[in-house]
Amino acid sequence: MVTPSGSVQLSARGLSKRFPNGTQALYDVSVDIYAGEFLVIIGTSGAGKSTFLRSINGLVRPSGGSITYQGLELCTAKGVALRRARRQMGMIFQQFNLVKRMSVLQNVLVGRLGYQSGWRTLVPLFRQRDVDLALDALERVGIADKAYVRADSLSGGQQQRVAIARALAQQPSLMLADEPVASLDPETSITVLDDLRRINREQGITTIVNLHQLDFAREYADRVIGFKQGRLVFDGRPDELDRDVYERVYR
Amino acid sequence: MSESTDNLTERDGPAVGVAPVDTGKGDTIGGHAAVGAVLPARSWRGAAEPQVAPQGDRTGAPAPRPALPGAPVLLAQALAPGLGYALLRRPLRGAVTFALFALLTLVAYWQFPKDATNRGQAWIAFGAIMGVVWLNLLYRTANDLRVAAIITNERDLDAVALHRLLRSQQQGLLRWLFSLNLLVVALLVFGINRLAVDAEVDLLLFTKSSSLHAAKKLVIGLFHPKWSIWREIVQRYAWVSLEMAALGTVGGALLAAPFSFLAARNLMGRHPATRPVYYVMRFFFSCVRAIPTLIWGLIAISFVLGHFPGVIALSIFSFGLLTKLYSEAIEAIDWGQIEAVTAAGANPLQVILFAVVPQVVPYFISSTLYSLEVNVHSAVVLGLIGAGGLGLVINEYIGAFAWSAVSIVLIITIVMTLTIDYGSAYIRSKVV
Repeated sequence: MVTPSGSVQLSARGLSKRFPNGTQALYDVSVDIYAGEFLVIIGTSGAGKSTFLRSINGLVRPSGGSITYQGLELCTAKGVALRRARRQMGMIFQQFNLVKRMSVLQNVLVGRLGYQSGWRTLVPLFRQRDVDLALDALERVGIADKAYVRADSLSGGQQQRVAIARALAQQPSLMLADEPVASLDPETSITVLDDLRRINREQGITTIVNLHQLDFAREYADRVIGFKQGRLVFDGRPDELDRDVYERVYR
Repeated sequence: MSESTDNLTERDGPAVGVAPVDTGKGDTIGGHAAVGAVLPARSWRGAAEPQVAPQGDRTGAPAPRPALPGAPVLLAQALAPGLGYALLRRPLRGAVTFALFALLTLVAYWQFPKDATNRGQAWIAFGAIMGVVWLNLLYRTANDLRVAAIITNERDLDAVALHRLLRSQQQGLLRWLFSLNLLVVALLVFGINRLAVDAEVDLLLFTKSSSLHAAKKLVIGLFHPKWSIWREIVQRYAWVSLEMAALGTVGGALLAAPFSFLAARNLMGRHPATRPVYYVMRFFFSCVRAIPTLIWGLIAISFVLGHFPGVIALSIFSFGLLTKLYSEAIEAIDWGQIEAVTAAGANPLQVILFAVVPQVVPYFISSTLYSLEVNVHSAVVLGLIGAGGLGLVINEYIGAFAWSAVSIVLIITIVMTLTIDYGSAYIRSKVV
């Protein structure tokens, strides 16, 4: 077990998820996530990593158990409360999920949508402060010069960095990354993971990353948890990832 | 027939000589070989026929030629069409043949006149047709048997030589005609006849002198357009048709845009509370589309007169059409973008504004232009019921047999519709 440096930021208890088609994606998962750590989740495809991540920001509704985040019960949160929780959690996807026909800047501004209020939620108009925040986020991932380019004209690595900027624009306290480098080449993967860890270190944003490459997990993680067939089978430091753990998680 | 068999022996002699002796042609000819395996090889024509292939020359010993039950198969086929195929272990083909034969008997029987005066003639025609179809079936069955026999007998031929041999059996126009499936041909002919009778087709119309005279005047008129009135037609009628079409499209699009979101499966079908909305909407819009623009026009024109009922009719129809096209565009969107915007804490309206709208706008534009094309066509027709525009004036000119004037209106209609069609197609190809 890792000795926690920070306080518990997010706590899952007895979390389970059964999809309508009968697949049991999560089975009684209990785990605490500490403020400021860089947590990597490993496991095979279909082990439940993605479902766990999506349960945190409510893209998937768990069928049992609870997730507590800053005193809020996420599993039952709805409406405004859920959206307020979501805007504090940036999310990065394997397929980047940028709105392809919009400019890079507009995509990053999507990260500010949760902070719009009143009539501004009805129109695509942003305050100057939001635009500045978005440009600043683009600056931090090094592609501010692409701000007015259409999102689908960028390369995969650049698109993923726009997605990181979008998450940063939310000024999150938690960053969720669902297989962020699975669609990228090794070179680009390293730059994207470097970006994520730098942001984690510099701004103290708790970061949870799903990965299936053990090498990356060893190199970047403060702590690693492993899923197998919906169950938590490993929780430890990255240097504990040995042959035995590999067998437990991947066999 | 024996003549061609002789030809065959001569022509295929050299090919047989060149061919490699041992080939797996049983596999290459799949279907026929299966028939051959069922039937012990012997010519169905009986012992009187000359030997088709002199294998003895090549192998040195006479090839085994066991008896072929060709006669029972043919007899069965003759007594009960299709039964022969069943004996050849092709029960499906047998059943279909039997069913088609029964159907043809019924159809042919129904279609011959049964009044007392020419009852005899009708029976003769009926009998002749059924007889020819029956003979054709026997002929084709015999052909099948012969092909099977050849394949069994000519085991030494390679695939190409065998194919050439079989092809040479099917030459000649008469033979080709009679090897067609006359059962199917007859059913088609009777079917088309039925349609023609029901549609009151009268080919004799074109031979009447009065009709010919009228047709002549029509053709002459159409080829001499009355160019002097084109400006008036364009300004007073074509423009009105275009305006009606454009306004109808705008009306339909404005109505369809919000409703299409309610009729999109991926947005509404996910939650048990909203799923019924999706089904109700889909059914409702199917009903709207099922009623032609012209009927909407007639309904509308019973309330108001002038161009407005035309606009109403076009709006309602494009509303139905565009809701379908729009909601299909919405159903094709990338869900990942929706997830990403949702995950950023956006509310449902913002999700639609930022994740759905950017994805569907090009398809909405394209669909709307397509609707405009359809509406230009419909607007012309709507003139016929008094909604104004080209249809109205063309109706008047036709009523007066003023073919030269009709001609210029037709030309203007063609130019207008083609311009809209090609223009819209060009823009659509640029947008999507």
